[in-house]
Order: sequence, then structure tokens, then C-alpha cells
Amino acid sequence: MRRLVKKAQKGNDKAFLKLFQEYEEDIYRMAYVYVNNKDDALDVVQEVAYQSFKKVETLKQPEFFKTWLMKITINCAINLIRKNKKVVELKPEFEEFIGSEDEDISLSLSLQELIDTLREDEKSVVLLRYYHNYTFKEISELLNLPLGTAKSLLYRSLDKLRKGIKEGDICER
Amino acid sequence: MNDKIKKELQKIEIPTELRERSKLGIWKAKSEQQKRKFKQPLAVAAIILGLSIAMVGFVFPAMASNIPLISNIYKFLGEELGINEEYQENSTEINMAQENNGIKVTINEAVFDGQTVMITYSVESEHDLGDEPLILNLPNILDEDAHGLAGGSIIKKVGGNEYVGLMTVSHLSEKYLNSANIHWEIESFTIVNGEQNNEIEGNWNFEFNLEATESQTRLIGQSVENEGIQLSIEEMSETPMSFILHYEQKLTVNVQNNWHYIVIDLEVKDDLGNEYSGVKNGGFGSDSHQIWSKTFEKIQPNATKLIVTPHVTFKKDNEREDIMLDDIVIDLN
Repeated sequence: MRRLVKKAQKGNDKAFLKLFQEYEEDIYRMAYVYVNNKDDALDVVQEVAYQSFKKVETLKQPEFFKTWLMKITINCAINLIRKNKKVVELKPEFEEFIGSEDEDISLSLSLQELIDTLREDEKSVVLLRYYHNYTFKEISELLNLPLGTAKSLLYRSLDKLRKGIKEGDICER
Repeated sequence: MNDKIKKELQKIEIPTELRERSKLGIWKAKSEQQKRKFKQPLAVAAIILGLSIAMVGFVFPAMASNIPLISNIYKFLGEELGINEEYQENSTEINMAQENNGIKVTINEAVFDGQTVMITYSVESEHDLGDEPLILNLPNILDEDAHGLAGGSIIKKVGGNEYVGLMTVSHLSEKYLNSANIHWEIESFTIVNGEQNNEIEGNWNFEFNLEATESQTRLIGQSVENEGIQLSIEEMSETPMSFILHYEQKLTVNVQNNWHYIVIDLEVKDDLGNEYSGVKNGGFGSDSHQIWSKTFEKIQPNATKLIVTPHVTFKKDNEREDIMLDDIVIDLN
């Protein structure tokens, strides 16, 4: 992989395509969880391909290629949602989560619940933790969040999923 | 929890155009880079020459056959799709045009190797369609035996609102077809504009028949096995411009359970050391048994053997393992 990243950094589009194709399905599925439709998710994939090839020479450590792509994916997906909504979303103040720190979830979880119930930042943490198996430390670095916030976001997400509460039910956007 | 999320995400179906959209994104970035690079005088001269030849073809469409327009489409666009100029020598002139909603689409030439159809086309538009308009309708091969289709496409702006494109579509059945009935119904052009897409709808409908190029098929029937994977090369077809390897992969239940997915690619070189890159045509089958084909460039004339190395990639979550199976040597004499 290192060799392919180096080649891609020299502008070799075939090497980059080969690398990108390893992850394109993951990128599509991640994007889908945010945008909830095929067309927008495909737009996100194309935009991630565009931005990542353009910026690949700035990637200092080739071993973080996947992490770097996931970060671009999350940013592109959230940007697209914001553009479509045409509203500026205020970043919520950090709130201390009071509840269970239990990572197990007993109820049956559906894809649609995941899409409908969680806010974008919550989706990011849940996907990185459970779809990509990142540690809290890695997640907090990737999303530029304090470690405590990453943990809180995850536990709050799990709590919401357990209760099946929709976003609109608990706070206004 | 990990498994629950993973299982749920696996339910999101992967659309057929995913790969195409990845390529489009990369292509867009690359073309922007190239624009920057072409500040060097030599490169500029080369590209201007190329473009002017291509554009002459648009100005005198009736004289298209007198102008090396098509060879330029292959030359311009073919590399990414593994297509070389030899395809042009074996192409059939189609010259069919349809105009609708201010967009004229002309099918210039097409070639069929028994497995894959390649079509060169040009687009003249009254509106600007952006750098790379997207045609989401793939040509269809109507024959009964042609079940399952996979394809690739590339389109490039060559001047004003003029574009040239190359479209490939392969049927996935094992059978070599002597001819193909092609139906290509374009329903819209999508203008990709980074942030939002616009669509121009219309109807550009083409139907034509192509005879397959000459082809010689030899039975190979060699297989290799390792770590619960069996790979067999069944046949090889040689056409005047390419060779196609037909292969099967069989996986034991154990391997399927241990990994989420397994991809096998063939790396080919000849006894003179030439490497053949090739393009996969797609495959079909079940998890345990799949049939694939891959098309490679024409074999170098003095080569007497092909050495095929199957490259297996296993994937699961963040894990990845690559192994090479034993070489399969194909004697060409």
C-alpha cells in the first residue's frame, strides 16, 4: 500500500484509483448513512475521489491513508447535507452526558434507525467506532474533538438508539 | 455492537455506477492538474495538435471517414479502459446521429470482440455540458445469451461544447457471441458541477448490429489451489487486438466464513518480460463459485509463453491479506 500511496503522490492516477477502489464501497456506505439516498451518496464518493486525489501529496504518513479518506468522507457528506438544507447549523455546546457508559446495545438496530435517529456528529463517532473499529483516541484526533466529547457523543448515541428517540424529539435544529 | 452496525451497513446496496463515479472524481482532479502542467510549451503543442485533429472531425462530419478522428478518440481516451489503437483497425463505421434538445449525439465507430463492445461517439451541444457530462444509460446487448452487463465509460471535452467519448460494455456469460445487437438509449446528460448536478433530458436512441471480430479460442483447463481457493483458467480467446482470459474461482466454506470478501486478479507477463495490464470485464456466480473474464492488450509477436500469476486479496474489517497462487503457464505455440 505504501508503494501505491507514494506513486499516487507523484500524480499516478492509476495507482491512486487502485487504492481508492479498495475503500470506495466503505466510502459509499458511510456517505449513505449521512445523506440517506443513493444519488447524494454517489455525489459524495465522486467528491471524495476528487478532493483526495487533489490533496494526496499532502498526506505525510501513507499508513494513515484510510483514516485520511474517512475524514474527507465525513466532511464531504456533512457539507453536502448542509448545502442541501441551505441553513447554517449551529454547533451544539458541549454537553455532559449523564447515563450509561455501556457499549452494548440490546435492542435490535436497523439501518433506518441509525440514519433517522442520530445527528451527524453522532453518526461520525458511531461509524468510526463500530464500522471501522477506531479507538476513542483515534476518533478524537480524527474529528478534532476532546476525548471526553468523543466518548460522550458515543454513549449518547447508543442511549438514543436504545430509546429509539428521533432527533426532532429531543432538540430543535 | 460492531457486528450489528456492520451487518446493517452491508444492507446498503452498492450501485453499479459507483466505480464510474470514483473514476470521474479522480479524472476531474487529474485534468485540473494537467491544465496546470501544460504551461510547458512542448506539452501545449502536443495537446493543441491533438485537439485540432479531433475538432476537424466535428466541422466536417460527413467527411469523418477521411479524417483520423476515430483513431484519436481511441488514442485520446482508450488508455484508461485498456483499449489501444488496434481496436480502430478492426472497428466498423456506424455514423448514426440523433439530435434532441439541442444536443446531437453521433455514434462514430464500434467494435465487438465476442465479449465486449466498444463504441466511440461524439457530442455537439448548444449548451455547455461541463467538462465531463455523465451518461448514466449503458448500452445494452440484446442477445439472449448475453446475460449480465458491466461497462466503463469516458468522455472528454475537445472544444466549445463538443465532446468525444468511449463506452465499453461487456456481457458476462461464458459464451463467445458471433454478433451482438446493441441498443443504446440515452435518456439524459448529467452536468457534473462539483456542488450540484443538472440534468438535460431527451431521447437519443441507437440500435445496430455488430459482427464479432475474428477470434480463436484455445482451451487451457489449468488450475491452481491454495488456502481453500481454487482458480482455474478455462479458456483464452485471441482477437486481432486483444486476448481474453476466462477463469473460475471456487472458495471453500471455511474461507468464505473467515473473510468478508475475496478478490482474485490475474497478473500476466510473457516470457520476454512484457507485462500486460488488462481490464476486468466483470463476473458472476455465487460466493462459492464465480466466473470472470479479463481482457488484455495484444500479445507481443515474439512471445511464446504467458505466465499468469493469480493475486488473491482477502479482506475483513481492517484486515487484509494478499497471497499469490502458483503461476499458470500458457504455451502459445
